[in-house]
Amino acid sequence: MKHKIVFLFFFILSHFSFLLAQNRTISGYIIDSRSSEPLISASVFDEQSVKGTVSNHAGYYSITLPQGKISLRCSYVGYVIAQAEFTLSQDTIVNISMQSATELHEVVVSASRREFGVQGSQMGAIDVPIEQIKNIPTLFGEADLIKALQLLPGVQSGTEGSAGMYVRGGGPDENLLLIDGVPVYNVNHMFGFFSVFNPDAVKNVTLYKGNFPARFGGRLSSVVDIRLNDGDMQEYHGNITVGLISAKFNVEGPIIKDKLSFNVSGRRTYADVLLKPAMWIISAVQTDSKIDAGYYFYDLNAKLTYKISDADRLILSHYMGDDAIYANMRYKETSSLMGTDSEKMKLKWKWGNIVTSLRWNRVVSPKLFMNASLNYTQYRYNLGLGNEIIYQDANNQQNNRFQEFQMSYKSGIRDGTAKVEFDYAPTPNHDIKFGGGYTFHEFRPDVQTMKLDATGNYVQKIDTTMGNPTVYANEMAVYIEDNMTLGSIFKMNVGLHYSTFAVQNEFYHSLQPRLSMRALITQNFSVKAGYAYMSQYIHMLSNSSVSLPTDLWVPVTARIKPMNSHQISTGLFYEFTNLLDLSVEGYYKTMNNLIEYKDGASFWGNSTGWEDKVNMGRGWAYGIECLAQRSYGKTTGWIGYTWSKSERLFDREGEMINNGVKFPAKYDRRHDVSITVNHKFSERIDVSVTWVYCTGNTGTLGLQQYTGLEEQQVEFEENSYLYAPELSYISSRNNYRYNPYHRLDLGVNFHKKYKKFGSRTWNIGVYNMYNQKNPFLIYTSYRDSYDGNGNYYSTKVLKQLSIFPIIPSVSYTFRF
Amino acid sequence: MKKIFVYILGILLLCTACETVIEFKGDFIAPMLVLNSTIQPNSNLKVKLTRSRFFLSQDDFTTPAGSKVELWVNGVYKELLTQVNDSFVSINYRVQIGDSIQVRASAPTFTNVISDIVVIKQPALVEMSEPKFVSVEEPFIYYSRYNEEEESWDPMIMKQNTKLVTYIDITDPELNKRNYFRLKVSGVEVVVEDNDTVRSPIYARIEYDDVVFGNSVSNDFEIIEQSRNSYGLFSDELFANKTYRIKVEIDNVSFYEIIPPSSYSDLYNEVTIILEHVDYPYYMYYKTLDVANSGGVIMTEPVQIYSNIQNGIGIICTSVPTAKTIKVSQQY
Repeated sequence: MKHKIVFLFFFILSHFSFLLAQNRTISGYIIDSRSSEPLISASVFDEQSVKGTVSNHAGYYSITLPQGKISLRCSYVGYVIAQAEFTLSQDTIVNISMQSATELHEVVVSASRREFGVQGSQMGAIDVPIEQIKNIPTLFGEADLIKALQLLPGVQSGTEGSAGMYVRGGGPDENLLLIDGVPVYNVNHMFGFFSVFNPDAVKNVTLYKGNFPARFGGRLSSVVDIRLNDGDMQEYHGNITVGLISAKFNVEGPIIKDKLSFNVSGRRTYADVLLKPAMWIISAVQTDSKIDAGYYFYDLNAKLTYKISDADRLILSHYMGDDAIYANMRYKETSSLMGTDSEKMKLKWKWGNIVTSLRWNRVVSPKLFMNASLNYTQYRYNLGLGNEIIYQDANNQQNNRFQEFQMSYKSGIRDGTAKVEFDYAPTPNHDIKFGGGYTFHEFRPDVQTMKLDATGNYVQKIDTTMGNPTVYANEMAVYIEDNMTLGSIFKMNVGLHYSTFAVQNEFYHSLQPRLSMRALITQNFSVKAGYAYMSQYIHMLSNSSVSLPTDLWVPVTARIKPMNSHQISTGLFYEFTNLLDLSVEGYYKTMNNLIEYKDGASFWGNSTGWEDKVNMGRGWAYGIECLAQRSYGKTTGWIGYTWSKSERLFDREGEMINNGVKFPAKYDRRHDVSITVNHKFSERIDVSVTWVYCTGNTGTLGLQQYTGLEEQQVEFEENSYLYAPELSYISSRNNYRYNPYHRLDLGVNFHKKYKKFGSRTWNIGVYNMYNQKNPFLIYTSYRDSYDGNGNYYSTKVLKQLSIFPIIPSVSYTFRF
Repeated sequence: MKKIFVYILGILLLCTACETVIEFKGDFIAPMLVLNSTIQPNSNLKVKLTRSRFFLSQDDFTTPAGSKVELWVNGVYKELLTQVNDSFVSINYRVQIGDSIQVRASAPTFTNVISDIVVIKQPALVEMSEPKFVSVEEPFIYYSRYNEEEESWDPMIMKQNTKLVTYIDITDPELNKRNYFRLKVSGVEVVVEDNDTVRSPIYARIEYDDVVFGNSVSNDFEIIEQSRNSYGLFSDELFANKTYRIKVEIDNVSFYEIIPPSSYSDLYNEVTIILEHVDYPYYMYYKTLDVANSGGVIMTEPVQIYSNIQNGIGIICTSVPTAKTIKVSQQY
């Protein structure tokens, strides 16, 4: 049956050509007028034929229209509408140059979320303007892309302050985060409190949380498509920001005007640098010991765009980022009586990503656009620890001792991908995308080495390497999708994604149909529905709530099957022209072969026997998401509300969790509200406010205590007694709900434009303005009390740990 | 300067992030009856009955007043168990292999609880090989006392670590059925002096590194985590319907006082290896207890301890032990 569908699909496509006789194609790039930066998802619409399209990730568009009079209208959020009228008689290249509204000091900027809003067939997706992301007040004033996405309906954060994403009831490893089309495996800095994406380097962010177009695959729950700035082809400019915990810069400009541009962004925290004086003081005060320790993270984004010709472009983009903890300690004590005792310790702990992509964009014909790419991505984690002890006894050489110890731990994942994709617009009613790719995965699970060389009064030599062998896997995917217009009312995106995964003598494959449909009831109101089947071949072994560098990606095995999900969704979309976009979406998702840790199991970087620590089961997630978004005028932002439920069932023979009874997922939350408002009071001042409220997370508590079986115990020293342990009775997993989470953040920007050169912005922010003590962790403990009569007693209490109180922040940005 | 001030303020505020005592707002679960018993064949049934308590309470685990425990065997009522402190004992009936045992307990204001089990057979412990020492450390001074006359420290108690290996052969006790076992060890030091024998418990520990114990090797070089099987549990998954030879390594620690050798006539250790054929509830109870005990890491999923008491908590299970004792001469 599946083969018949594929055949029918290609049969229809092959017969388009005869329909094209009276049509001509308009194509070209849509660019920013000042920087020549391509604009992604800009809308091109012919008012005569009422047909439209949007630009792709390279800013390229192609629309095939009947010959005759054309009234072309191009719109993009934050830009002034560009319009052109002409008579179409032959294939025509129209490069559209759009002017930023800010540049013209215009207030009313028309835009359209055509593809994701009322007009488009796509649902469950949203573009978040990067300027809005930068303005959202955040922890320590660090603008954060993932934290901005967490404010959208259907997306939840993990614990307080974390950059983990849980989309429509899925887990954190079910999100595909792409930088210029290349996956990033570890998206967190500082144990998950910040994400690796530097907003200064980002041009466009699109989040898909359902109804995935066929070009995406490999994860169950979401796709975050992040596109980096290409670089200004006309002039040099940039910015420098100094914030509370980090400093960053962004520079871009032409290397060869209108031919070759660059864009470089960097960010680094400097807590370690600021702590250096403290280290020096400690070292100076304690003459016998020296210490140098610190933590930092950095990101570096670089991109070169070379315009070979009007038809060809080469783009080389690179990202690298690391977190690092280091410590060097020395201790030396010398006395004439005892001798010399010295010790050195060195710790180097580093983890991070490298993502590189070389793309070739070619306009093969006005109707056909090609994007070929070679991609490389890796996540690596290295821990090195060394220790040297020298003891020289002044009185007895037999007591002399020398010990040198070195230990290392390494793990990671590396992918190499070759991919080619095409955009083909044969008729006004069809926008076809097809392509395929091959990925070679190298999973490097944990490898530990240890070397010990001890001589003197204690002799021991160890030189050993342990760990798991590298696992190689081959993944292949092909897809085809057609975004087709069926009359003036219906539009649908229908596609197929086929993928294979070969690993260790196992071969898995999956044919995944995708469908999105729209019925345009009025020009401002549409109804949409869709279906997506997704498959995922890799898992992340993680210790739940906090992102740790030890999180390890592993492939499916003979026993652990690929995860898959079916998602159906439907929605209503309404647009108040130039005022507000409203949407209400409902979804129902089933997930299969999910993995969950067994009771008591944990993962701390050792993948040995990981299959024995997890069980496979099923999951359900369903909910309703409401979004009112305003992208125009002085006041922008959104109000989002989500009602959702996410459940798990692990009832397979030998794979039971919670006695085979359904239980709520870890981040199952019934209500989630977020309000984000940015108001521009003047050219000099704008204010952003964010308020979030959500139902508390679930956790597992033993609500009754009881005694277990008695057993004879023998202590180390000749004691034998009967002992019955005190145990906790846990009625079910995730049986307790934490207190609700809510928080208000505020950010104020003070801008000033210097007459001679550049401009500056002071940003003052307050995170958690009313100092709400939100739950990070709940546990039982004891509280000592005094009864006033000389008696102290201890009572057992429930305690909540909160980690982020009110936190002010300030940053300074200079733009030139 | 202003920036430094802001920095200090930020750090101070961060430090105020703290723990607070919160009110429990979840669903309350009423206290339940707790039944615990390890039944052994050819013996009287002894069941411990207590009550559970709210997790924030510090009440004692008492036996509810007016509690009753009934014994039913193979569907027939046998007797009302007699209360002895917090336990209830069958006076007349001795449990037999193959019995279907049902224990029913009730107490005023508590929901009645029931537990059903079948008493299992004894495993066939075919043979135990002669133990061999694989490592003997030199005794070292564990405790010494200052001798004022000699102005020196006199050793009083010595400690010696030894490791011995033995093999035991086990046959599958019940064919075509998954069987569960527990292997444990106990040790005593025996001092025979003037026709008087003194037996003191000593520390002995099995290293469960045979494959049947699963991934239980505590590798010294595992930097980040260690797995465990501290109760020595295993199943016949790997040797169903066959005879299997288990390698048993025993760490034996002896403490002995420095006394003149002539003052006693014999001194040796007795190491008893106990192989228990246990039922599924016993196996699951200790398996889950083992996992729960190995926790302590905040982010591990809490463990649901296995229970087979309907409407209540606890465990009623059977264990049929077979023991072999070996004499281990002290090596010093």
